[in-house]
Amino acid sequence: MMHISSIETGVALAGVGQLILVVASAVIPRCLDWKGPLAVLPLLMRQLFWTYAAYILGMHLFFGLISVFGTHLLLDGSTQAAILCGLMMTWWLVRIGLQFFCFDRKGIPQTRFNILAEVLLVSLFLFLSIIYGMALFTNLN
Amino acid sequence: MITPVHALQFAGIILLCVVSANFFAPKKMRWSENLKHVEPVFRQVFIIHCVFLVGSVFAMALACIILPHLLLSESMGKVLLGFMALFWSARVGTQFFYYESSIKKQFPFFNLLFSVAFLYLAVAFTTLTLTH
Repeated sequence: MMHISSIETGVALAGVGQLILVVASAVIPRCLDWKGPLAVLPLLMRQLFWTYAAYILGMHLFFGLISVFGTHLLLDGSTQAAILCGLMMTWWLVRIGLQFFCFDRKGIPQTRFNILAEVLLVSLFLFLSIIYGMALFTNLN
Repeated sequence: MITPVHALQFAGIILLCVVSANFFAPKKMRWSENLKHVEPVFRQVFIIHCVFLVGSVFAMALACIILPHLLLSESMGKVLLGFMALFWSARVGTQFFYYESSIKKQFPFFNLLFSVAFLYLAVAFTTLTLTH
């Protein structure tokens, strides 16, 4: 009982973390003026870029909302809950892999702020992967 | 007679077609050539977003084709159907109101094909969400 309750808290916290990520992701393009560098792209590619970005934001928003407001649904032991938890765990594990093995970070200045931001971001991704992994395990048992 | 399960499985087939279209789009729209002009970070963000989205659409396709009964069940099934309804309704809106008409005139066949596909997905998922 105690175990389930702590996982419930973890899933709700994971939801809050993702909602914070959504807010940060929505603000970053404006703060870093993404429109300027993207102006060199043809219109279609530019519109695709923003559409994809909006959809990823939407996915994170969904993950955040379902984790905060539907915690019990994510841990009800159903096949659907197990699949969704497995999907979210995979999503964040892939995101960690991309951070270390695909992103070319040479162009990013290694300032204290950037290093701290990356540590926080990777910690969040790791926390999300672990929590959804635990939720998956709970659903399967 | 078309049952909700058939409607979902047909949606799954359409979703698989959408996934496969994403393997041809980069060449057709000369992504690599166009993306050469932007900073690497934007190139990476674009490609990674695309990969995550194609993966998501593929997961939706598998759920619709293999596990339609789970999507038609109570609680979580309804939440997932509702999410897909919003996802594809937003895509219809994007197709009709966001993409420039000059672009759509450049690719009239694909514009029609995708519009019909997205409309079916939006209507099917919305109807099933509201009626189940």
